[in-house]
Amino acid sequence: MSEQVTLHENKTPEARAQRAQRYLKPHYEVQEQKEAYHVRVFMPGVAKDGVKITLERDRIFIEGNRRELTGASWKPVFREIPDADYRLQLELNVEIDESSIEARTESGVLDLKLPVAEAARPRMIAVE
Amino acid sequence: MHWKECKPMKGGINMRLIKYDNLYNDALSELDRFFDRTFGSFPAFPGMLTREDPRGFRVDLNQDPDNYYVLAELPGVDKKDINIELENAVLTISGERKSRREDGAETAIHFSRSITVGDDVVADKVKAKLDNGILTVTLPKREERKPRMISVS
Repeated sequence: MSEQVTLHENKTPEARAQRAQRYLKPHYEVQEQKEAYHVRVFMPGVAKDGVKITLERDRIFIEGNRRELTGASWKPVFREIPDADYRLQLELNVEIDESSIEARTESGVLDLKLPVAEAARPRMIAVE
Repeated sequence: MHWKECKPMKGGINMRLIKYDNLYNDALSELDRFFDRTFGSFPAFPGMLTREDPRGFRVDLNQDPDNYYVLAELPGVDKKDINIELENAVLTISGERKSRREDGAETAIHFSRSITVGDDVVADKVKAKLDNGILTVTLPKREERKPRMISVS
């Protein structure tokens, strides 16, 4: 794949700067649990300090910045892994208890626990 | 593949040359990846949950004068669940992605992919590390096959 090789060799600083503007939507899984939603976002190459989570009303923004994966002297033979950071926006239709959101990363997977707010939980009403 | 960067030819026709060198690099998987790239999803690796697709995860092959470097995206995989095998010039990365469900049951999905590296690898010096879901395999090249300068005496 000579075409790609030359493309990468000619990578100018401007081309590298452009990298930040390309985003990839990561794969994610949502599990509904009794009192929380468990979201797993697959972002290989993203370390703990590369994750930024912002909550804004009923929207949650997740941004994952990858570390540079390749060495400076490496010449690509073929490439499939995109050279882009991750961005994901999720809309929440349930009220979330913002103060007790838990987030952790492990081996390129972001685990998010979004507890459902007390007011939004289903409750039994006893008939008097 | 860098679809964005391919320039149209003079007549306005887009021409590309793609080398298919193994089963996992077939035309369909290329198309799949094109869709993933365009529409931004990432079903390649976790997609194996639903359809048992051995092509699975994405890999990169790089080289410099001393080594070959293979990168593979394996998020959520424990390092003890990864097997790396080198046979002749073919590197096979396989293993299991285990996940625990809420009820405590453990599920495991098998994945495997082979890629052709050079035949000049020192097999017993191959090293691998797993960092944030990215597996990096470093395959040193044999000394006698490296290019060297010969001075004219």
